[in-house]
Amino acid sequence: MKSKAAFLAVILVLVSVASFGFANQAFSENYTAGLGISDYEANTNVTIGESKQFEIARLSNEGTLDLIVTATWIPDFNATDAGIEFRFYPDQVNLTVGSEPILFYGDVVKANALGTYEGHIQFSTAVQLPEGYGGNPSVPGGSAKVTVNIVNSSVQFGVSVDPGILLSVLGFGIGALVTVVVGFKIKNRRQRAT
Amino acid sequence: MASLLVSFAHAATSGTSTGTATVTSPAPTINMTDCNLYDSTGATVKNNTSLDSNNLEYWINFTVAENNTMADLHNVTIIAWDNRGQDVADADSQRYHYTWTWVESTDTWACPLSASYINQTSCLDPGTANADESYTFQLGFKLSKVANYSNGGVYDGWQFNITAYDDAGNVGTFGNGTGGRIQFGVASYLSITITDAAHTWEGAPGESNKAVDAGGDGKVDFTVLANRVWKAQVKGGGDLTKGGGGIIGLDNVTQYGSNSVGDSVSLTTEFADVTGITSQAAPSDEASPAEVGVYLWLDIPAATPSGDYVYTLTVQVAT
Repeated sequence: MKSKAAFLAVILVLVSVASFGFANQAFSENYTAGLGISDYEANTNVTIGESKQFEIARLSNEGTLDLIVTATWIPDFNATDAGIEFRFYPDQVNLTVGSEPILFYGDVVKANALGTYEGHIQFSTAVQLPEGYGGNPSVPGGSAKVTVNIVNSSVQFGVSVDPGILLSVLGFGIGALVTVVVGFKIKNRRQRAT
Repeated sequence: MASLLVSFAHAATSGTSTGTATVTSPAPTINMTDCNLYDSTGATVKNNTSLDSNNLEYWINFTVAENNTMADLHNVTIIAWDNRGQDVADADSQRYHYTWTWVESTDTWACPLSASYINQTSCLDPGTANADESYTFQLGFKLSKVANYSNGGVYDGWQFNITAYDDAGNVGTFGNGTGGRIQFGVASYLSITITDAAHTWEGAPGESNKAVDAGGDGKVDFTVLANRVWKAQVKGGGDLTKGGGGIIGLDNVTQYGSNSVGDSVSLTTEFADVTGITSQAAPSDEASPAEVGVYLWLDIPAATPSGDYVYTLTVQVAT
């Protein structure tokens, strides 16, 4: 009899070995975790040497649980280069049930080098499950695209000119001018000599 | 002979001629230069930009001129539609086509599709029997969350057509191809609501393919609203851990879009598509979101210490 009781006790322990949360209480009420993202797919031009703020996305709570939203910048293409100093805000917000949607902004603090910088803002969420509503949280996520084109100020005339190319052209022009002037003087001297 | 001439002369001077001069009613006109799309502050022109379909209000202003005064107007109709495959004359739908009207005789605004897509308090009109010969109208409107997305950076997917009708049946139109038009795009909108905000397993070490308990159907359910083709993705926040020590590797959790554990794949900390919930069409009505779920299973390694192990599952909608 003693050994049978011990055996039952072992069985009970094994059943609860890997239990997660409180299954019997978890679904007595219908809580939902919802996130809506208007992704503006921001694609903005910033003149080299300047800064610019722009809208990235607008987030709304679409559930019955408050959300803590954390934003993270994920570069898709060389956005960590020194060519751009980029940040966004806010990086964390409480998106409560029934609150107004929240706008997220990008901020090119400084555009240092010509190029296209692409990435996205990843929105992660956390929820505080109500007391007695146990288990592993299932939370919503999402993202918004960002493209920043760092351009020369001459882009407003429809042509983007790399500074290196510009210097080369100027150098070639000056060289050509010097050649013409020197050639003209040599020709004049020859004519006077004859 | 002379008397005959006199007689003719008398006949000419005493004759009468009757007639009427009919002045036709001119058609009302809409001044295209006064026609603009704004945000709901009226401060920012939104022509040729992407509008946010998530419950955000916009205004469109336009001036109607009518020589017979505003009292002669019968109604004004504003239509916004997605011109990529749709026509101005098509039926209204949340995805592609909206109509708003103002009727002079009753001084009422309406959006037949739903009152949700018009803000009456933002609308401006001349009222009934107004004696002005021109008036600048304003419509305050919203789009459905499922209003069809325009490709990012391309803002000419949608356009407006404004038509003024007078009591004689004359028509003035702006925006349908000739004489300029107002165009706009619709920003991407993706929304996920997880119906099962928590999920559990209960089992013993060595058990495998334990179906998740999340409302009793073996899957974590969620609904999706989107204005473009979408897919579901999932990831885990990390291994399942127990207070005081103890870990179950995240790869012991597997996921699939239908109840087929043999096809399921392990969760990782990177988002992965949920097979079977990809290339999903946008819902046609924001009141009827797509209802789907991701099936989850757990393998409990042998010799796992007893206790409650916790992790976080993240589900997102992507394109």
